Amino acid sequence: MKEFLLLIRENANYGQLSPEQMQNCVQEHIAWVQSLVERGHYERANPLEPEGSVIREGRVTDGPLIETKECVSGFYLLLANSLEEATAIGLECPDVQLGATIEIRPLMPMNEA
Amino acid sequence: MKESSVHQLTSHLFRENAGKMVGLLCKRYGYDKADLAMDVVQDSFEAALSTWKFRGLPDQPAAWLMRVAINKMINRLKQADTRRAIEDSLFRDAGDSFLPESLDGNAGFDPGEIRDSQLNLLFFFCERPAPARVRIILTLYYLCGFGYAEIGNALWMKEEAVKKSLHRHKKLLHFFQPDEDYLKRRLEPAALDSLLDILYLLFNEGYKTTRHREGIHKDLCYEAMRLAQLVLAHLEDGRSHDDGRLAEDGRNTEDGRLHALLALMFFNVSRFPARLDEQLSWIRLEDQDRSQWDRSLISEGFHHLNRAAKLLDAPGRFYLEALISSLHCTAPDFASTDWTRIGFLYRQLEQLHPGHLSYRLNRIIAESHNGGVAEALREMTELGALLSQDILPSYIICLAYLYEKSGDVVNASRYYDEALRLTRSPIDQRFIQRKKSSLL
Repeated sequence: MKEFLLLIRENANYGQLSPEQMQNCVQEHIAWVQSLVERGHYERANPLEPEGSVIREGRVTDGPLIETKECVSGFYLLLANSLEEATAIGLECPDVQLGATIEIRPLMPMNEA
Repeated sequence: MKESSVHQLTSHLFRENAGKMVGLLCKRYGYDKADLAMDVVQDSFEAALSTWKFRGLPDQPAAWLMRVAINKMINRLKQADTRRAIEDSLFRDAGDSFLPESLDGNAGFDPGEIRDSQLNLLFFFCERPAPARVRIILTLYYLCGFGYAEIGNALWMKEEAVKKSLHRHKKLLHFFQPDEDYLKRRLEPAALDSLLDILYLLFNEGYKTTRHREGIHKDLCYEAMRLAQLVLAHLEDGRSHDDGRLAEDGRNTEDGRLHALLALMFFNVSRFPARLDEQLSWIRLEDQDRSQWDRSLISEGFHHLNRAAKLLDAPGRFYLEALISSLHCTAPDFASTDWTRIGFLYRQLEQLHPGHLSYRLNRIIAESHNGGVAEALREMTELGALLSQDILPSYIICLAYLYEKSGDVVNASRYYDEALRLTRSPIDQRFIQRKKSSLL
């Protein structure tokens, strides 16, 4: 199995959802992660704080978030046999339905050098 | 992730906690900041959404949410305070900070405080000089965590109308006196009416929900029962400190009505285990396995029913409904149910509430079980002229059922088809579909 980095970029705007609908989103997500664990695709995951800083051309700014609107809310490290399989897993992510952009990148194996 | 992934969210955890969080935030930081509190609660849910999906659920999701909400509220108030301080300093010396004292680090909370803040808000809403419907909308929105669409569903209103009503009436919150303990005051009869209506609606919304796969939102029912028990305990508690409130003959209508409502709730939840089949379709009362009904809940229902009988001076809506439910709960089977008495009780309900056509519909069906299907169909035609939108789907299903009973397969099938068009819930649809195919 190879490792893949899955980044969720979302335009976090849940303003129109009721508490009940938000809970449903959480539950769908948890069910998805649960199934990843069960199928052996899950390695780890972590959310990212909304704030951060960006250094561009030697200048520090307050993070990438303001300019781009879409922001990376967290990452998953997944195990899959191929990019195709990892992509299929990404398509199952409930955030896809909510309009999030998902980026999947294979990690370059370093121990074979 | 591995350990925490075994945690499951209780259903409606968000919705139930929305009310608790808003109640607590308002109590601590002022009811004039209810809108900010609503914002903060929404923010906290978003934080949960974006954290939990990577991390899995925390050990105590409800406590997590409450802690995050309190911290966010404190931060928002600090920001506002700083902004105001800057504005103030432009014009004059900075005045008193409007930050409440409780901001000094105390982000803890205890269940008693949460409960009192909820009851305070509930009592406050029930006392507003506004139409009953407005009071119910405010309570469902601020206290029960209902969204616009969910309120619309529960009250048969358009989402847009709910929004408008909230917008127009939320200023009522500004009349809340933070120093006043609403729990110490005696509820006016009209306020108690509203309070009971709210609890009844909440329960019914759980009992026969139209939007969820599972059909029965047990937790919503239990939440309504929990609130009813809180209010009852509170009323009884207040009375033990103030003997003057007891009527001479020992009757007490307030407590009696709460007991009646609780009796009705207990009888109805006792049938939960038998109401749905494995394919998630309703099971008709006549087809339910009565051994699955929960006997301990039924006896709890009788406890409240007996208390209500002692305390009430006249049977009201909840008492009569509870009586009907008790007759179902004690009948050994469908055929030997006392339909004559049930019909009689529904007739009393019709007299008390002529506008509630569902009582009339239920009475017609109850009496048809005594063999009078032709008479029932004749009465259905009369009722048909008075129908409103909210009762139409039930009316059509009953019509199909009566035609089925009379052996008129063509009409039965026709009305099951029509019922299918009118219902939105998948459970209702499965039920109707099955009834229709069993005709052939």
